[in-house]
Amino acid sequence: MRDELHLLELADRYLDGTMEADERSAFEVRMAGSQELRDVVNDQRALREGMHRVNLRMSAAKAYTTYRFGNWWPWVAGSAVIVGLGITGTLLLSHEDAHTVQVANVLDPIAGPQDTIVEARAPDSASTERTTHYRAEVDTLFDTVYVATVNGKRVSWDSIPKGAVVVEQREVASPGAMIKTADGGDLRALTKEEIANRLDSVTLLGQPAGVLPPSNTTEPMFKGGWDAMHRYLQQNIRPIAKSDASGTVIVDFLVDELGRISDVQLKQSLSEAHDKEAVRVIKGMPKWLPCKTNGKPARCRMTVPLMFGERLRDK
Amino acid sequence: MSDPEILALIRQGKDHQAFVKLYAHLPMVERMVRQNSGSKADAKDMFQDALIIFHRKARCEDFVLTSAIGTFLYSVCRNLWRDELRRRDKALIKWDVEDTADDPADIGALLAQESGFKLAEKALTSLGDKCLEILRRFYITKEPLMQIAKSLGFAGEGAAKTRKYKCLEEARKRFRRMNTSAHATEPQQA
Repeated sequence: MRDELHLLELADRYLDGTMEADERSAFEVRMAGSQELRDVVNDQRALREGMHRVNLRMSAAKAYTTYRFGNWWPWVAGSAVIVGLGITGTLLLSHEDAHTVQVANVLDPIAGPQDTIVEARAPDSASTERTTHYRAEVDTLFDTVYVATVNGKRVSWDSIPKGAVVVEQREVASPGAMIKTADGGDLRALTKEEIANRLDSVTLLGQPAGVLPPSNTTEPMFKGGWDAMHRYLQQNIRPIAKSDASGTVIVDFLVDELGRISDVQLKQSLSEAHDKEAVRVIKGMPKWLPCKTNGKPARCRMTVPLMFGERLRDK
Repeated sequence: MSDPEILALIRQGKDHQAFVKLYAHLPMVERMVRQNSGSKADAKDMFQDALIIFHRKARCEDFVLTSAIGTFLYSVCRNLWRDELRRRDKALIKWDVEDTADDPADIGALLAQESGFKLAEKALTSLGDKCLEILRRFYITKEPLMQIAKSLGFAGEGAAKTRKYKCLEEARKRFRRMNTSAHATEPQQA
């Protein structure tokens, strides 16, 4: 891996144009003689441009909203993305509910924290005496299971039954090497095999992150959907007088089982007047449709970004 | 706002403002697409592709406006849409757009190159938000690794580097896979 990492860095420097003249010509000679190196450089070029596209697509989409709806109204931007993120990990499950969370759902590759330990028991083993302990270390960055164990014995991930219920899930690393091996080594630096060998000596330093929502949880929703919410906000947000600020206020709130809004919190502030107005209008929203877990209404937190546009200042 | 002013906005990094202005050309594209078996949403997606392509050209220092930006965007969209229609069921295609319009000279090469980049974009977005965030900070906003590590909560520079590498490797793997399957279907399109 060290070699490949080095190659990638070289490719980046080559593409950035930061190589010295002689290093550059040496690199080009090397490239001419190696199909593999040419592939690395070409792929890297495409991926860098691809990254630019990802970024530009976001600004193009944002600009479309401004173009379409004008920017003298506060508008809800990127709600699908931000709201999606807002929901993840914020479902408030009571401990009893936690027993019904399914392993398969917890393994959603993107939804979870970066590294996750999932402990589960088989669906039929209701009594604690007969509990089988499943344990998995998951890298949710792209859904790699490092280690799975059953009653302490290492197994392949596939041998953990789909219906196994999670009894505990901990985020062991807020991204970064928060898992340390007993001898103080950085777990990330170890190979999978090494991790497997040392599993018993792993000490968890991370904070328990609670139980994550399974994907059989539906999102809470404004009655009438996003368009209705957009309209509601348009009609109810008052222009902020004498303000030249433009930008986003992000508000986060709890939707309880009955759809009531409470515990409105400011996640990103713009100015006192904007913040106040955002909180006011969110607090004044009609009842929502609560999120549902396994068909039952539940409590969820929701995040909504409100964008205040430039033209407010003209008014 | 005139074309040179829009170009200047892009060069100052004010993409949002420039794009908002350029959307004024969308209705023309919408009309073309809807008259040729497409929807409004098709038109919007494609127009965004055209904006991205224009942005890439505009960023080049030696780029000079040779035609109106609107003409360029329309012409890119027309070519993209024709290719898209070819990809779909041929029998259903209705295509009555004049082909004599002034395409930029390099449009074929431009779009071919761009479709490779588009695959890369797909490969990257399939990785998920965490990887995208690391890569965005590294390649777009060009933050130093130390700072990336700090703001994303990595233990240190090394950890951030490893993450970035893992994300890139995975993206490259997926990109290659997509590339292979894209090339495999190419002869049928031609």
